[in-house]
Order: sequence, then structure tokens, then C-alpha cells
Amino acid sequence: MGKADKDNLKKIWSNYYLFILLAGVMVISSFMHEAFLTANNLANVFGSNVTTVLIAIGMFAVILTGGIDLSVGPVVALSSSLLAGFLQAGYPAWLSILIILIAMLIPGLISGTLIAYGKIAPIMATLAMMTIVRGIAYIYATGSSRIITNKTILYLGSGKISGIPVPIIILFVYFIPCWILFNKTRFGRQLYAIGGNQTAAYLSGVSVKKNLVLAYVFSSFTAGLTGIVLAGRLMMGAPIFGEGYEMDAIASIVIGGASLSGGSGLVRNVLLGAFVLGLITNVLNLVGLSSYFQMVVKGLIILGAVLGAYFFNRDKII
Amino acid sequence: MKSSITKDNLLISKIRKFPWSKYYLYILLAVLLIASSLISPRFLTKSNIYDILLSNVTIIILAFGAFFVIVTAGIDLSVGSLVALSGCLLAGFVEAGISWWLSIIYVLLIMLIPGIVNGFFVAFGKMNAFIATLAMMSIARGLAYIYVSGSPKIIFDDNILAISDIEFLNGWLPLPLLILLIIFLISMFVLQYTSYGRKLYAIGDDPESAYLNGIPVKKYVFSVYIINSFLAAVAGIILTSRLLMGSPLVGQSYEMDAIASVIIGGGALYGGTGTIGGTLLGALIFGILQNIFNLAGIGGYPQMILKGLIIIAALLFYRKKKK
Repeated sequence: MGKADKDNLKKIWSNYYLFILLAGVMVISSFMHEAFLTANNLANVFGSNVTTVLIAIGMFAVILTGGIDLSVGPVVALSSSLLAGFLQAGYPAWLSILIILIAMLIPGLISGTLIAYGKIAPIMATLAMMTIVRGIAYIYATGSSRIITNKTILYLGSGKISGIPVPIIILFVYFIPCWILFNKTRFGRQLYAIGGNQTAAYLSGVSVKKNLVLAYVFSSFTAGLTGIVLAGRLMMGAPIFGEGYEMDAIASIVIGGASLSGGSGLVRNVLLGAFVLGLITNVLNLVGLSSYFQMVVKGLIILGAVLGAYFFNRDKII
Repeated sequence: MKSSITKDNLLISKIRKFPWSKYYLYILLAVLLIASSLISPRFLTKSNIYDILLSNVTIIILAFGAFFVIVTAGIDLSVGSLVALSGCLLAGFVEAGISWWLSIIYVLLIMLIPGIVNGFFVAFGKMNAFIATLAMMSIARGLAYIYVSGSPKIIFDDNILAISDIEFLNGWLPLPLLILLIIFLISMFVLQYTSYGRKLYAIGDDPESAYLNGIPVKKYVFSVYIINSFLAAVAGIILTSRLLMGSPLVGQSYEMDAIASVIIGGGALYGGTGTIGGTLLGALIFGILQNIFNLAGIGGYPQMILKGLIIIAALLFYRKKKK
């Protein structure tokens, strides 16, 4: 086998390993449990992972620039709490959603501004936003969760259209513009350029600061949307929602083969990576492993994903 | 004429080189102390001051560990979980009938392993420190839960409980503070007066030139994660003795408080700057602010917001010095 063949093989592998992983996990799961491969169960399993996938897609914009957004979990909590509060106050569902989606641009705007114009390390700025936003969520909800009875919201979170859960439809409706955004627009290509080499991007005329702020706004907006879907699924809004979501999102992105130092990865692979993570969690549940073991396994998966990427793509250090 | 100019320049450069950031912290601390004693007459009592110190011993020790890592431009997110794991191990060993001092030694030795794993992946595996220690954060907490099968283990051994109770010098020097003081002095000595410490700064400043100057960068980076893990175990043992139990729940987000203390104290995530003394002051300021909030009757949730604002303020304050 010549070098060109080997390179080709590597390329094919790095393009399709996620499909192979996904198929592998599904085969294993169907052996674990005969009910796994029924359409109904698959719809449920994929439906319950939509929140992780959405968060990961949002954070991917930030990670592409070489940054990180730790505040997505609290934004989910705030958006679900606000939604429950607005509905209780008698606002119609569409107006509540509209107000919340606009309001959830603000956390991203603040952390993006601190990072781009204040030159603060992304991890620190979003860490501060993390405690601030969760604090606001707790204060707004006065510490407790609120039940949601609005039919529209419940339909968004747990309804089905001819057997397909509505969250999955929301995901794909949202994914298409995201795919275009990352792959076909100037904004998307500029995000790759910023992550690849910020100075070079700046020198070639990319407005680095503006795009950085937009990346954090996008992440925050997507987290806000996730909060609405989650509130619909769990039938309530609570300030404790979203604990550890940032970690799951980062893990999904790493499994999807993107580098945390920025400039590489595909949004398609982030989607697949998140589903692989979700399915593995599902398998562990089927096997009956306790959630404590699952924490250990999740850590090992992250390490494995990074090492795997390093092994198959030696020139790229994650 | 010429000489006077150079003299002036010398003076100016001396003023510029003067470590102002150190004194900002002292001034800030003094202002805080004065302000808080005005806010609440209870603040400047011996018992309140010792309360602040003792309840912050864990975070301060973790901040020392975090400083070793951060000075090399690394980060360790796993320390909160390591605190929980070491507490659970200690409680489990004591329950299994191992004598108290042997249990402590075992815990300290075993807790080197997470540091070795972190350090290995970061230094030799070229893995991003954030993601490697993130994985360890999840793994260590999972192990803590598994080891105690989910629920806290109460400790009945008097010797373990005595760690947080023994006082020297007529009650003026509780054992946890003595341990803190010893760790502080050793860390300061190592970081400021040994070539090992100065090389850590060099690595954080510019790993490539450090490497070209013959510093074994990988070994040194490897070592700071082990130091950090060891200090997390010490902090975990003290906390366990204070809480009278080993619990897998403790230590959530302690890594964030430790990192915030380092940042307030003038350290920077891009490495190579800050001092261990600054870290101590930063942790004290952070702890005193929380105590003031409590005394002023501010609720837990608004405190979360204030904490975030303090971190942002500290970051904006120090950002001018960024390379």
C-alpha cells in the first residue's frame, strides 16, 4: 500500500468513523435489549438527546474560535425558569418564547464583549457568567421549580408528529441553517480562520472581535432555545437545570473530532458525536450500570476520543 | 546632566518595577477589613476571624496547588473531585480498621495517582490541560461515589476528628492553620528561592524558550499536576475531619473558587506571573468578601452574582499586563 493509499484510507476513516461508531453502538445496544431497535424506542432515545446536541452545536461556534463557553448550562436553567414564569404570569406561549430567545442573546453578548474587547480568557469570563446567570435564575424562580401546563410548550418538548418526536424535528429544522452558517457563509469561514490563526485572520481583514462576540451570542442563543425544549420535555422550568451540560457539549465536540484549540471540525460531526455520547449513555443504562460508573466511563470516553483523534491525525494536537 | 537623567530614569524604572500589584492587594485587604468592621461589629472578633480562616483553609490550600499549575499556563479542573475522593477513601480506610495515621499516609500516597495521570496526559500526551483534567474530574467523582456506594461515610475515629480540633499556643494556632502555614512557607520557598520554582515561571512565560534553555519542560509540567493532586488530598483530609465524614458530594466547584483566588491574587491563566503570597491574599479577600456578604445578610443566590462580578472585576483589573 502506497503512501497515497494510506492517506486516502485515513481520510475515509476520519470522514466516516462517527457513522461506524454510531452503527457499532446501535448494534451493541440491540444485543443488550431486544426492544432497543424498535422505532418507538429509537425515537425516544434520540429525542431525549436533542438537548445535548443543540448545546453542542451552539458551543461549536465558540470552540471553533479556540474559546470555550462554560455558561451554557445556567443559560438553559434561566431560559426554562423564565419560560415557566412568563407562562404563569399569563403571557401567550409564542410571546414568551420570543422574549426569552431575544433575552438569551444578552449573556453571550456580555461574555463575548468581555472576551473580544476586554481581552479576558474565555474560560474565566464564561465561568463568571456561569455563576451570575445561575444566580439570576435562582433569584427569578425564588429557588424552586415551576410546573408548565401550557399545551404548546409541552407539545414542543414531548409531542410527536407521525411517530417522530417534535424535539427531533426542531433539531433538524435548526440544524439546516446552522450547517449553512458554518459551511456556506462568510461568518462560518471566518470563525474557522480565527480559530486557525487569529493574527493571520486579523491581518487578512477578518473583523475578529465582532465575529468573536457573535460566536458567543450564537452559543447563548442556542442554549436559550435548548432551555425551551427541555422545559417542554420535563414539563417545568427550574434553576437547577443544565448542571454539567457544558461538559457533555465539550465531550460531544471532542468525540466529533474537533480540536479545542480551534479552527477544525465539522458541525455535522458534532451532531453525530453528541448522538454517539447519548447512545453510549443509553447502553450503559440498559446494562444497568449505576450513574456513578457512568461518570467514570464518560471521563474515559473523553480521554479516549482525544487520544483517538491524536492517533489518527498526528499533526493535529487537541 | 546626563547622570541626573539616568538617575531619574533609574528612579522611574524603580517605581515601575516596584511590585504594585502586591500592595494593591494589601490595600484592598485593609479596606475590606475596615469596611467590614464598620458594617458589622461582630466582624473583627477573634472567633469570626478564625471562622473565616478555618472555613477557607480548604480553598486556600487548593489555591496554592492551582497556582503551581497555573504558573505553568496549565489548569486543573479535577481538584474538587479529588477533595471528595480523598475524603471518601479516608473514611473508608478508617472504617475498615486501618489505624488513623496509616490511613492518612495511604490516602496521601493513593492521591498521587490522579496527579500522575493528569500530568502524564498533559505533559507527555500533549493533551489540552482543560480536557484532560475535565475527564479526571468526572472519573474521580465517579470513583468517590462508587467507593462509598453513594452515601456519605461518618467517621468515628477521634484522631481523625482531632485534626480540625487541636489547637496550639493557647488556642491561637489551630492545627489546620499550622498545616496551611507550613504549606505556604514551603511553596513560597520552592517557587521563589529554588531553581525548580523559577523554571516553572520560565515554562509558563514561554515553554519553547524554556525548552531551548535546557529546562526539561515535560518533566516539570508533569510534576506540578502531582503537587496539585497531593495538596488536594491534604485539603480533602482537613475538610473531612471538619465535616466528620467522607462524602462524595463535597468539593463541587471548589476548583473554580481556587482558580478565582489565584486570579484575584494576580496570577494569570497564560502563566508565568503571580506569586504564592498574592494567591494567599487573593483567597483571603475572596473568603472575607463572602463572610461580609453573609454578615450583611445577602442571600446565597445574589452572592453567586456578586462572586461572578468580583471575578470579572479582577480579570479586567489585571488585563493590562497581558502580553
